[in-house]
Parts: sequence; structure tokens; C-alpha cells
Amino acid sequence: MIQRLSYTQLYVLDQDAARDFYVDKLGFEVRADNRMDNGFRWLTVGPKGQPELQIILMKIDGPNLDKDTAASLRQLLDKGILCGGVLETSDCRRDYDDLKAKGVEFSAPPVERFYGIEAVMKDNSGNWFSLTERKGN
Amino acid sequence: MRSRRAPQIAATRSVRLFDPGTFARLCHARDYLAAHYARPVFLEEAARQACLSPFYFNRLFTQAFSETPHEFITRQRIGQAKKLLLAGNHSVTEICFEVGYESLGSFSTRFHSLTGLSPAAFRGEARRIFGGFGARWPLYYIPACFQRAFLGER
Repeated sequence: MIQRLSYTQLYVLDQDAARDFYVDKLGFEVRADNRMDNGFRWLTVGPKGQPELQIILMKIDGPNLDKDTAASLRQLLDKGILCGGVLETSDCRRDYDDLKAKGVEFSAPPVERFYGIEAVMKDNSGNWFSLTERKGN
Repeated sequence: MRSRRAPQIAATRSVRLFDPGTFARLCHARDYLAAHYARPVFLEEAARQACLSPFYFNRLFTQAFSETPHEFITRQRIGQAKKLLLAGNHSVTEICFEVGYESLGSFSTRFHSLTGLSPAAFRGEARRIFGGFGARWPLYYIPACFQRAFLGER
């Protein structure tokens, strides 16, 4: 039986900017940052509360993607179609205020849902996330 | 990490969310541990960073990060040892002291229990697989499926 998720991937426009965003704004930590001879950069981050998870920040115009694919991905990011998942918090409204003050873009402010309080934010590449405070944490 | 009085480890490993203030304090203590993993750190010292008693700190840390402070320190030390084993020509003994162990025996035992290999065997195996010292060692950190997809590796 599958027991956990250890790696997941996001496409980003610029790895330096993405690293700064996830570390400086979201408070994540860098889990790996290795560069290869061909320009490929293996960059992973993760939330401090989840040490086993690595989020791969993959550059869209790296050596692994052809130009057409990279252009398509850029378009999808521009349109805000790509979802990064759900980020859990114990205080959605407070995090919303803190992250807004740091310049993080939100497409929806905190709203009461039957399952908790949820806001919708974007990273600096265009991936969107739900920021959720679940009821009954 | 040293503990003058071994605290009772929380029975549960279920992770829970904390109020932002407590979580920030725990993160601060965790960052402190990460910055000082290479020297003996007492539990009391880390707990002080979080403004908590050692017992309570140990329990909350484990609930927040799904590993004890001691396990966190060990993970930092062994992770750094792996990098040093792959990245340079330091002896295993040098690396043992570099990452904060005071005895080669306890370092080797802990390394083996976490990786399944002795430090020397780990270095040898990594060099054999990644085609030579110094050139491709960072590939060790990249799962093989990603290497195939993005690097054209076998």
C-alpha cells in the first residue's frame, strides 16, 4: 500500500526567484539545490512541518523541455491554470495578512467554508494554491 | 544531541498543526538545531530557544515535525556526512568528527542503520554508480526516474 508522497513537482519561470519566494515568503526550507553540467538544476523545497516531502521547483525552459512545450507551460502559468495543491495553516486569516504584507498575490481572500476557512494564493510563477485552515485541527 | 535526562518521547507520531506563535517558536528552535548540529547540543538549550520546558519541547517538536529533536539532529548529521563522503576525499574519521560525532563507532553504527551501508561502502557504491568521483555525484540526490526524464541518463 502506498503510504506517503515524497516528491511532487511545480514548474516555475525562474528558479532563483522561486527559491526566494518559497523560502523568504512562505517560510519553506531548501531540501536540495544541485546543478548539473548541462545546466539542469535540481532544486527542491518543503515546509518545515513536513520533513519527508520535497517539492521540485522545475524550470520550464530547462534542458529537459523543448521550446514548444515550454511555451505551452508558460501560457498555462500565465492563465493561472496550474494548481500546486493545498497548503494547510492553523490560522488562515493571520497568514493571509502576513503573506499579503510580504507581497504574495491572492486571487481570493479568506472565506468561511463548511470545512474551514480558505483563501487562494499564487506563487510568483503563477501556480495557485488553496490556503486552508481546516475545522477541527 | 545530548539529553541530561532522557525525556519520555511522545507516544504518538501523528502530526498536528499548532497556533502560529507556537509553531514559529518551534521552527526557531529547529533552525537553531540545524545551525548547531555539528556540536553537542543539549535538549535544554534547544528548548530554551522555544521558551518551553525540555519535556514539553520534545513532545511538541515531535508532534509538529514528526521526528524527535534527536532524530532531526541525526538526520542533519548523516545527511551532511553523505555529502562529504561524495564530495571530497576526507577520511571517514574526519567526516565523523566534522558532523558532530565523538566516536567513529557510534557514527558508523548510526550511518549503517540509516543507509544500510557503512560510510566507506556508501562512498564506494555511489562512485561506482555515478561514474567517477567529483563529476556526477550530485546525481545521487536525484531519483533515477527524473534523471531519465530530464537528463537522458540510463
